[in-house]
Amino acid sequence: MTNRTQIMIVADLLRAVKEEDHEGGAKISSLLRKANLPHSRLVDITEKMVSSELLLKVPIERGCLYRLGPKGLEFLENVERFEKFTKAYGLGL
Amino acid sequence: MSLITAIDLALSAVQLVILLAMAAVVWRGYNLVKSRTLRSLAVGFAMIGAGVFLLGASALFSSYAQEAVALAGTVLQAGGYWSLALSHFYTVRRSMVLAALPFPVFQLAFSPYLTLAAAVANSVVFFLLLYILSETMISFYHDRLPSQLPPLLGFFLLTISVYSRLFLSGFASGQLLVEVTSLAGFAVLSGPVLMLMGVRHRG
Repeated sequence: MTNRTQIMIVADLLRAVKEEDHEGGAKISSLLRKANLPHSRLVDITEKMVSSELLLKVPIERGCLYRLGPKGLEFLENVERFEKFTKAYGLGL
Repeated sequence: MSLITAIDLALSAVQLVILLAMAAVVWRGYNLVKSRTLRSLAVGFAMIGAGVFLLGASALFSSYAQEAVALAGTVLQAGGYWSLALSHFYTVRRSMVLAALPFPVFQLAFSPYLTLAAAVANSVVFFLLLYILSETMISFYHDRLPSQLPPLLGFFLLTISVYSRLFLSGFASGQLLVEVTSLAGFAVLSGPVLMLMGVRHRG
């Protein structure tokens, strides 16, 4: 097995957020469980994703929730499309 | 220009168009998701296309220039297949020993005869194709996805084509057969790219 690429980590996070989007968003603790990343790395990546508008940060009483932004949804669709494509050649994205 | 040379050139031009179209679609994908795999694929397809065309066009030149253009074409192809093999290395297998692979490049650099250098470059292309074909077969055995069949068949046809080029290069009709097999290989290989374009248009 090879390590996940940065794109696959971002895609996994977007999928995790999408799963909880109907509940108003995902908490960082929930992402931590699903993303299989150290806390500091996860915080760093999510901040970058928020600044590039892939994720939306919604403040709540205690902390914040992450929701999928329109750019995030579009990026996830593209990743899934090209993931299938590279898989056809026996490759990972 | 003989009829066989003209047909050979036309077949090379068609292959160039197919491969450049594939490279353009994959490069667009790279711009969307910034994946190293897609960049390697796009660069690989473009280099192979240019190499195939140069190899076909080499028949228009004479003596030393012909050998030099053919060598440039084969080296470009080797570079392209190297780029495709590298995608496998990065995303699927990290155990391959990369250090052994620059060896043929040294051989090329110090080879006194262009024909000999072209033969070495062709051998490199053949072994890289064998590696890519093996990886694609392993992947198909593992995942059993119908979408993996066109690349598998495509790489198989290309391997046959390069293998034939190594042994049939002396015969004009043999060369034509090699080009037809190669064209069929690239056409089949472009299957997933066409599917990708179809999905985009439907979307």
